[in-house]
Amino acid sequence: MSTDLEFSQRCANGDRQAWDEFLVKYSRLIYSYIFSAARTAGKQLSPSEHEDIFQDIVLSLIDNDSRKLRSYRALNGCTLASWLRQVTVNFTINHLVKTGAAVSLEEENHLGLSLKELIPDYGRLVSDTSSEKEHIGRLGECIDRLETDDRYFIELNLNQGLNLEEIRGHLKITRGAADMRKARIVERLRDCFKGKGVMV
Amino acid sequence: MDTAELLIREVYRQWRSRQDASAVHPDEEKFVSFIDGLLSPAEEQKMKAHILSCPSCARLAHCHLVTQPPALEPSSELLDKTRRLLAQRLGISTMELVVSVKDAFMRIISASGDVLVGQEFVPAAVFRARQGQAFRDEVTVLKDFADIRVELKAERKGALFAITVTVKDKNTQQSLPGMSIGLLRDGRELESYSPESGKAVFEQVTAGRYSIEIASPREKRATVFVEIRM
Repeated sequence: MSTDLEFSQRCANGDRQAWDEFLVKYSRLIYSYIFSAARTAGKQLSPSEHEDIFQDIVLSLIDNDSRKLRSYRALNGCTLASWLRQVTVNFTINHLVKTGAAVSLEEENHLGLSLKELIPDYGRLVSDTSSEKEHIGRLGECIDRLETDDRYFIELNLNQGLNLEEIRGHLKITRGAADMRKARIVERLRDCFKGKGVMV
Repeated sequence: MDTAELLIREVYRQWRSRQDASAVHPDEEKFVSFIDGLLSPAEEQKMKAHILSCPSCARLAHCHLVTQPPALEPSSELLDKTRRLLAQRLGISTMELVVSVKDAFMRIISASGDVLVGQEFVPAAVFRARQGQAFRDEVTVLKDFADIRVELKAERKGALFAITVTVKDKNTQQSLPGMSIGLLRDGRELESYSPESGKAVFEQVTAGRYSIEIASPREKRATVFVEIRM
C-alpha cells in the first residue's frame, strides 16, 4: 500500500496527528491552487472568500465519514498532492460557477460572433453563395475526419489558446514535434475545406 | 492567429457544440492522472474523447495546463481556525480559552469548560451571563474529557505570561504522570514536557495564539487552544 494511501486513510479515520500533518504538508498547495484556479476563471478572490473556500475544501474531505477522502485510491501512481490539486481546482471552479462569479467554458466560447466578424476575408474565401451556417456544417465534417489526438490538439491550441510550449509539456513531445503536428493538422483541414468550396 | 486558424477554430467550436456531453465525468484521481500522463494509452484516448465533448472537464484541463500557481501561504489564523473546525467535526477533544488584556485586567473573550471565579468553578455558559467579569492577574479554566481532566491557568507576569497545564485522571483526581504536554505556535512545537506531576509550566510566553497538545505514549488525548490578546 502506498504511503500516500495509508496517510489519507489515517486522516479519513480521524487520526488527529495525521490531520495536523495534513495541514502542514498540504495547506500551501490547496491555498495556492485556489488562487490559480480563480485567476484562470477570471476572478480575483477577496481574502475572506479565498479563506472560506480553503476551509470548505478541507472540511469537504471529511463530510459523510470522509467519503471524499476515501475516494482517493492512489491508482496509476497518483499522489495525494496531485489528487488534492485536482479536488481544489474542481471545487473552486464549481464554487465560482455556482456563485455566478465565472461562466462555463461553453459560454465563453460562444461569443455570438459570426464568421464574417471573425474573418474579414470570409466573403472571398467561399466559392458558393450558400449560407454561413451551411458552410460551417459542411466544414465540421472535416473535424470529424481527424483523429482524437488531432482534435485534442486543436482543443488545446486553438480553442483554449494554450501556446505550443504549454502543449508540448503536457503531451510530452518536443517543441519541433508540436510545431510539425500543428502544421500537419492545419494542412489537412485546409485541403478538406478546399474540397468543400472554402479556400484558405 | 491567421485566417486559416480563425476559421478552423470557429468550425471546431461549432463541431464541439454538437458533441454529446452526457458521458459520466471521470473522478478526480483519473482526471489528474491524465493531466500528469499516468494513464494507459487506451485510458488516455478515452479521456481525450471525453474532454472533447465535455466543456466543464475541458475547463478543468485548461486550469491545470495554463498556469503554475504562485507559492501562497495561508495565514496562521486561518490554519488555527481550520484546525479547530476539523477537531470539532472529527469529535476531537478540545478546549479553548481566549483572553484579552486591557487596563491591567484580563477578560475572557471565550472559553470552553468551567472558569474559576473566586474559590469555585463556574460553567462557561453561566460565566458568560455574568458580563464584565474581569480578572486581575490570572485566569483558570478546567474541562473534563473522556477520561482526563485538564486545568489551564494563564497568568500575567508583566508583559509576558505563564501558562500552566495540569492533567489529572478524571475519576480519581490523581495526577497523570508520563503525559506529554507540548506548546505549539503556528503548528510548530515550542516546548514539550512529560512531567511526573502531570503539570507543565510554560514560562515567558508572549501574547498570541497557541495550541497545547496533550498526549499519552499511545495517542493524542486533547488539544487546548489558547489565545492572549494585548
